[in-house]
Amino acid sequence: MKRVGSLVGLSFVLAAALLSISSCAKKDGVSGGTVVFALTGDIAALDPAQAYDFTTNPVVNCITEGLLRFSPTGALLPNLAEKWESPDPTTYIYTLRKGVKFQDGSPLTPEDVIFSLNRVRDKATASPLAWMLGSVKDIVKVDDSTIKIALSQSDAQFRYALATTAGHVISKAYYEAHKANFGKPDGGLLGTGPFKYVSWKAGSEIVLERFNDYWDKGNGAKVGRAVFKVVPEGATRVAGLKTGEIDATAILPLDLIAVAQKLANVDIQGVEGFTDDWVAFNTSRAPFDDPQLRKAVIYSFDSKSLLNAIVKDGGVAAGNQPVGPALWTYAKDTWQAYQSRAEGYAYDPAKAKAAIAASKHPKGAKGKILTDGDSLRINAAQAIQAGAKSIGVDLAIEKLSNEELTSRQFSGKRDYDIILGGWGSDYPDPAANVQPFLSSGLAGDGGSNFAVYKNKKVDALLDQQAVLADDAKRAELLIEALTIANADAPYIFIDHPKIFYASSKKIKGYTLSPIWYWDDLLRGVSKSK
Amino acid sequence: MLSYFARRLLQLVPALFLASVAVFAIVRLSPSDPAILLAGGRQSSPATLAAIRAKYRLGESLPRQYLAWAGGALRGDLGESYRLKQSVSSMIAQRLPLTLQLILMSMLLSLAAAVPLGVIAAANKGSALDRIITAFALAALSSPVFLTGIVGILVFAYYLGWLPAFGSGEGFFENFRYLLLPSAALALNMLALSLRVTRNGMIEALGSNYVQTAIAKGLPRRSVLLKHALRNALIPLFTVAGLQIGFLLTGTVLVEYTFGIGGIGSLLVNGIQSSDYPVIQGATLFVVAFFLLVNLAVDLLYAAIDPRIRYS
Repeated sequence: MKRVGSLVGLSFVLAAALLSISSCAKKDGVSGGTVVFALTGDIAALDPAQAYDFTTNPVVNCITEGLLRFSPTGALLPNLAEKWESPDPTTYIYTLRKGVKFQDGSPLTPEDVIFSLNRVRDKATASPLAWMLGSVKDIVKVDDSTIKIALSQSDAQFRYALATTAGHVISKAYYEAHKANFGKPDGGLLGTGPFKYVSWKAGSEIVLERFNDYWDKGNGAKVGRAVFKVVPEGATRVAGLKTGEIDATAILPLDLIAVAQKLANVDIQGVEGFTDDWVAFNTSRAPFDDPQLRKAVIYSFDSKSLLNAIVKDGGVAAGNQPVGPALWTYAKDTWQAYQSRAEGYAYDPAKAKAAIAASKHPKGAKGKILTDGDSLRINAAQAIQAGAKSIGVDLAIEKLSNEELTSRQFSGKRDYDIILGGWGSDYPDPAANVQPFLSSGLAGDGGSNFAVYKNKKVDALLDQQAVLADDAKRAELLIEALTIANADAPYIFIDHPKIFYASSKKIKGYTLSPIWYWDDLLRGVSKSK
Repeated sequence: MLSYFARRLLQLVPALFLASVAVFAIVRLSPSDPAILLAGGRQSSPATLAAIRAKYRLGESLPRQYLAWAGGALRGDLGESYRLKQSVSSMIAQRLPLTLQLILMSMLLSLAAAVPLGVIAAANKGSALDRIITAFALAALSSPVFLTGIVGILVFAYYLGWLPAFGSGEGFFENFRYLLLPSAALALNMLALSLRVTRNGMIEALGSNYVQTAIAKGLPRRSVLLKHALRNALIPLFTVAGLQIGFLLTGTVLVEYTFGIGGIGSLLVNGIQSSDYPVIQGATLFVVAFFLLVNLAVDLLYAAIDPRIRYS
């Protein structure tokens, strides 16, 4: 009887506890307060050489910094290097800022910089960022505050690399003292950034605290503590923003942005991204090796209705071009003129019928579309399928997990007819949205030429612009390459999706950039009570 | 008894072996490519991919990869995570307390609701109350935890602000607050079976001779229900509860994802999302071993509770 009685009693206790426990927020005794940032997943490592995703970068960027950094519009700004010059196209000289300290108080030296860059280049590190420094021949110390980087060939986009995590500087001494567990929870990371590492509870949270001796007085950490919490479910992150348990988060699905916008205590920043929602035809095998068939499918696809229904103001129609207005970072007029004259293959059933009649498959064709469950992509796949059906092209949709879709996109096997994906440029340079899609050298394993598009003329133009210092001339060459490729229609570019950043109204000091993943999101950010 | 225990332990060996082969094979049948995902899922060069494949021995033959992994697992070393570069064994050990607390709280919450409801339903067999309780249990069983979880977050965190929306705290007692919503979501899901077992056990017990005798002797109804009938009805519930711990362990996968709890379940999901073979294999093997051991423990304890059962 006694045992049974206590069991029944327990149920009442638990029920009472469930009803009576009210939220008693922990008192925050940290000066400047604590800012809580929600991540969509755990970080890969506390290591800039492994920071190449949307969860690892926000954390690592607080701890380590690059020689340069980007402005909100993508211009290069001095950072750990106070100035830099390029006396000739294969030489870059960086003058290091004086008085910069690591978070243990030791000074930043050229040796640390050279060590960090070479570590990213080293094959044994297996850094996903290694390609950014691919044209580097060697790096030498000139004097106590100067380093010189020699390139094996001129590289128009090299200048950006040192503003990314590939150019972040770690302490050489710290790395060598923590070789076995560097970047892991017990080994940590030492950099020059505004926050220093405190703890990492794998799968749950990473805690950083203010570094008081930061070189850029007044622009470092204004909050005392930064806590990064892992909250994969989007709806849960929105609930956390509402309750105040979360101060900021970077990635929300489109439908939840609409919900978060209605919250009285939340600010949403949105900017046009250096991004593309793309559809690639596999041009290396039948039936989509036929440009007329590709054009027929594009003309039959009503992308405008799709954008109105799904994307609304969450993106900008692309007019079938990979370079959106946000990415016209140089030669703006030239790009604008191109955009207005370029063939956009807008929805046109009559042109679709004419194109298929002129193709090698006037009686129709068959193929498969690969997509994942992303709301835009799955709807786009269905709209393409419906349009194609109207011209006798029978497309089957195969829905994959996001991981599998990613694997299939970058696998050298190229086993698909049509594949969908999203793209975000790593650099504020139009070439970063042209070359990856069109260069024939990138059709292999790990490459981003999803359409397996191969055109010698396009390759020559892309190679030519890649080594020029004159950006105006580069824009002309890029546009010439795009014009040729666009006539072959290897891709559909649906839209340039916007980037969103949600934060509590108490949080001030960050201006969202299209390449936010290279930013220290908490630098200079304050939290009011 | 001791030889029975030894025999049961020995039976675990082939089961674990088969499980290890199965999880090893299934992970590799998955079409995702760990090298591409490790490269950030963005553009990379064949040289980068080759370096990653070499570093994680992805090019070696499958039997060699299996032997290397299984050999380590026998020594308690489940390998190193591709993505996090940490020992899988220690990752499991770090995350286990949180998941165990979640399981324990769900178990208690579900029993605390199921047993009284089951007794009430049995005592009022066939009445409207009985039907309402049964319908409630069925509805709770059929609502997926990610749905009840989100609804719970909306009501108790978003609108009422009583409980935290996500995450976990420090230590058992702070975690109690954080884990109430997720364990309630899990408990709702499990409640139906325990309720059904309690109800059926009670109905059977209430119809039995010894209960009829007790009633005939004029014992108070409350005493007959709780002392004579319930004690015997609880024995099958014990077995069911043991089995449910295993199911709970899999249930935590969805709940931990919804509530952003860093336990074994989210470890497994993260592993799958990044094709982190050692993590998927290690966590799955751990769950299988845990499930088998709990069942063994339940069987052994059964004998202790029910004097009619003797193992030899």
